[in-house]
Amino acid sequence: MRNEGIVKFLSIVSFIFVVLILCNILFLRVVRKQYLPDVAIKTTSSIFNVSGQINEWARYFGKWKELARENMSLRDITSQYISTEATIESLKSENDMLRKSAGLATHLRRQVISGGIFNVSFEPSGYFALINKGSSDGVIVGQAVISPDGVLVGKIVSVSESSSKIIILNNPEFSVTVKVLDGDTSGILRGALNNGMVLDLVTQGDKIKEGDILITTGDDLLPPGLVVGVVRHVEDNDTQLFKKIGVDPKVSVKQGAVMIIK
Amino acid sequence: MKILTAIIIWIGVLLFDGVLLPATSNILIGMGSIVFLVALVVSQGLHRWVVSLGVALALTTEIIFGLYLGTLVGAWLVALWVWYGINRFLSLKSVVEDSSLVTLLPSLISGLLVLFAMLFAQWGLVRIFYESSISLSVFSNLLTSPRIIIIVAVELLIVIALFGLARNTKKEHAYL
Repeated sequence: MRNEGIVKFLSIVSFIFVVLILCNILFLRVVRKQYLPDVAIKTTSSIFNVSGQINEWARYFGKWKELARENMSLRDITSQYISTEATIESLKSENDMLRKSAGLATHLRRQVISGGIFNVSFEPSGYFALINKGSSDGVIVGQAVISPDGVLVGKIVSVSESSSKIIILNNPEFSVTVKVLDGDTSGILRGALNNGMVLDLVTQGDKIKEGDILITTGDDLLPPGLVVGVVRHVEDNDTQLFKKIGVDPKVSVKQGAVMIIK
Repeated sequence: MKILTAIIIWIGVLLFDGVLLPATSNILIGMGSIVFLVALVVSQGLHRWVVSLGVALALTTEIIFGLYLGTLVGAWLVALWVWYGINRFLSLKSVVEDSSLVTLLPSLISGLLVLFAMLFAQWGLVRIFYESSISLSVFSNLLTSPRIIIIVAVELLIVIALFGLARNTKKEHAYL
């Protein structure tokens, strides 16, 4: 018998055994008490036998799997909540729009259709926007498009089944008859691209000043009383027949809710 | 080959102790695995393969029979240390080296000593680490029961003889 060799080997095996058994006991006790107190009570006597231990390990794995499943289901619930929140937000917005529409409809004594601008193009050839309502919703060419606050945005120039094209106030092809709010001065407002709009046909004798609010007269196809813009500057020149008047649109056109007056 | 022989004997002992003996008599001792392990070290001596095989078989037995994990392996290691201690003071020849009756008797006596040490170690390990075991008085009553001692001694003798027989058969085959 090779005494030294076998003693060394036996010592190593014994050491490993002691470490393993201690780890096994300590780990199982700590983990069990921390995470599975119910198991600790139920299986106090049987926890240390092999079948009990295997069962316990299996329960740990089961617990982990259960946690993973719970995590997944919580994620699903969170997604559902987010979706519900988005729906609520959308409904709230729609509700606001409908309230405003109802108010405007009463105010204007005309029916309105709620819609939304989904594209705005500021091209050199002209300023246009697209809305998500078309002929299927009862939109026709020439109808006025206003903001939820009742400010003129533009008018419909072409209609497809599910969408329509709006000509924006700044577009040079756009024109509307307006008058000064609480005044008698009127004129024709035209788009001037980056310069906003210009008010034509206002004679030198007409009373108009910077800051005056312009509203539609209703002399053309657009309904009367819609706010259009604010006078930016007035240039008097006695040598000219008409004044040069710059106007800023009251709203800047961007993606969002609008209404179409039927 | 000797490992295979040992495994075959281990299976035989487990079947005999766990199935045949209870079926054919009223003897329900259930110490077959311990008897086998003691017989293994007594008959083969202290070698690395004996230690390793003993650990593997003890662990397998624990898993198969649902014993407290580590108690049989721990008891086996204690038995090896005891056997090593005995061999330091007494010059015992293993049955493998000499299977005559002259060596068989001291082997049996020392084997019983190792066996009781192993049983005591197992009882102690269960008591210390697992807080669940029979009381010392019951345990000592069991160990001092003549019936149990006789049965265990006979089993041990048979298993040691089996190891010796297997060794002799191999030797004869070698001569032929």
